[in-house]
Amino acid sequence: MEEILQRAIDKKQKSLSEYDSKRVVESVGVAITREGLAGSRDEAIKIAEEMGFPVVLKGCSGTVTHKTEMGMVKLDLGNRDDVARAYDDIIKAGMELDGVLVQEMIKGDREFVIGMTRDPQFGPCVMFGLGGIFTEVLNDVSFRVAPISEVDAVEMIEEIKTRKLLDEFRGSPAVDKNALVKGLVGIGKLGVEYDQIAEIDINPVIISGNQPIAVDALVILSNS
Amino acid sequence: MNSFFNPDGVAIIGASDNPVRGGYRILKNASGGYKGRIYPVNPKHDSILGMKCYPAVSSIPCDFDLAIYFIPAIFLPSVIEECAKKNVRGIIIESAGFAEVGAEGKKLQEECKALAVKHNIRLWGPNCMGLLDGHSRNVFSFMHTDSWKTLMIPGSVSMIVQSGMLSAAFLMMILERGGMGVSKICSIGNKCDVNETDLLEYLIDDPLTGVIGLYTESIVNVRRFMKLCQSTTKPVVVLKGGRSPSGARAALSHTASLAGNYSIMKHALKQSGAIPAYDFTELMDILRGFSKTGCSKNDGGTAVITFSGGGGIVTSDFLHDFNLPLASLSGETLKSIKEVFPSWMDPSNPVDVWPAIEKNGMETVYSKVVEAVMHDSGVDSLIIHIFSGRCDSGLFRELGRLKEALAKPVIAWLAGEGEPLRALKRDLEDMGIPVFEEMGRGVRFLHAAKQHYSKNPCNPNVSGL
Repeated sequence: MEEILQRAIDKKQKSLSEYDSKRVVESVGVAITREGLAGSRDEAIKIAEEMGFPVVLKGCSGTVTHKTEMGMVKLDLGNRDDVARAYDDIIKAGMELDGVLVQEMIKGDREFVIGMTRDPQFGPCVMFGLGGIFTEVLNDVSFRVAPISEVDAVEMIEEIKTRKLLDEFRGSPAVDKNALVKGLVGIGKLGVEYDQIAEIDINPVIISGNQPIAVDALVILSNS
Repeated sequence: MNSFFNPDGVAIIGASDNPVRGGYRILKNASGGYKGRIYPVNPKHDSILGMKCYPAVSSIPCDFDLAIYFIPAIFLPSVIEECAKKNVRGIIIESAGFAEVGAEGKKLQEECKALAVKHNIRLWGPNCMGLLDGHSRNVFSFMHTDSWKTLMIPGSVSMIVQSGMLSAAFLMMILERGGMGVSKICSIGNKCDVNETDLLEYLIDDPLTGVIGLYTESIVNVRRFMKLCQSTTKPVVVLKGGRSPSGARAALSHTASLAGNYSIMKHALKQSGAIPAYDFTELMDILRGFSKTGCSKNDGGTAVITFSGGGGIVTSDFLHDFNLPLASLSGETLKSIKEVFPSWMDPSNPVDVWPAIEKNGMETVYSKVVEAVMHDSGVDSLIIHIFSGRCDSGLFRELGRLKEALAKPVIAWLAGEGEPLRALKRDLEDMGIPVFEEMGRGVRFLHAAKQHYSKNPCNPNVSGL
């Protein structure tokens, strides 16, 4: 963890790549997508085959933060040819990349967001809320000042207006709240223990079955 | 800090003989309650209000603890130096003209702070209205009224306010309504030294304080503030001014842009167990409620006794809004109530007692229903609606006793007019039953009380316990 952060700081990056961001949040108990970083088209295909289709390909970089807008995200790739074509498209955009991220395609109707920010008064704060594309429109989030206890985490989960999405929903099982609690407590710890981290966005956290999985993550560094 | 509340000797710098001036009011208020030595200071007078007036702090013959400062800001540094020679512990600066007026004032304020630290003197204010103490009767404020002498009754409610209004005109208006005794009211102004967190710590340790209310626009050392709230079993009710967004922050992450300037504060207060209020009267209503409610078991539902079908329905709606369950009354309770109900009507919760009153009279019906409902093990709290003018308030003395004995909060909502209504309200509150002018506000308080006491033991610092 220290290494990942230091390497990025040395390279004067403003944020960690998705791949590195996920290593960081995974280390404190947030479940992430299965994924591998490919350095070539053949490697991408190999990782995809081992993982099983469909997969997602993303250009992975510590400098490109708006991957979707830059055409760096290719969803729902069902076979070797799709993966090869997507790989070439991403490379063709000519951005400076650490590699191409091959990850499992997580499908789920329920999306949440977990975050950490530093408030000038309160210091590190943890956020939980409704995720996905409507996050900022609906503004359905709760905050706690870090470090947070498990009780705090439970309260913040139960505080959002759309909390019913965490129960059984349209044939999907109730969300494993313990997994969310573990992740929130862990993100709070990151905020308290690592001054190098300015902010964290884990959005979306998609519910797959009953398990919350971090599908994208962004760790912003304090030197930015 | 104690030198502010219980000083041995007070100098009033800027005392005046002109009744419309603040310097006169400070002297008048101080001499109206404070029992120690008072030294008016003003070179233009030999005596004011029959008290010897001193030309300067240096001419006061002996040491004293507290100075109240009410002359132009610019003289403060020299006054601090003079006070240091008299072993002064604290200065309450009620004058304006400091940080709130710009860079120059801010510089002066910082200079004074540094000087005071050097001499080990605490500064209170500037730009504030000082303090009032309901028990000691010390009133160190330029408030332009003597009405505190009759309106301010000693009690358990203390407040820390960043607006002078809440320690003067508005406070008097609330006290005139009655039903709430006060301990310490602290107006902190620019809080260049003594701030809400220092005072919160003092009030948490103060045995005469049972409930603490705050109006604040910003909190200094907010992490310590949160720890203090978490550490105390006394309810801390906070009205935070400035909750509208100050504009979207340019931020790299979604999390930061969603944080806003109030969102985190709101959640942090909740995390620390503080109770939020959103309006001045709401703050006062919740404080009054807590000053009479030292316990709640929070293990059942709320019973509603009403004289109006509509009143029962609207109250039930508010309970639903606050996620408070209506109690389901036991068969035994219903059987007991049925004894005073007309044969054609079966009781349920809300208990609409009007038809029963028509048949058996108010005293019989209320006594019977209150007794039955309060002893029901499924009932942990009671909302009672009373129509004034048809009964003697002594009827509810037993309810006040049951509320304490059974640790079940009771709140009342009244209808009626004129003196009978006022008398009933006064009597109920004397019996320890808080009365709310709005049904919704009463339910809001009940929710706060149940939340607070689900996490805290009973509060022995509340009057009537």
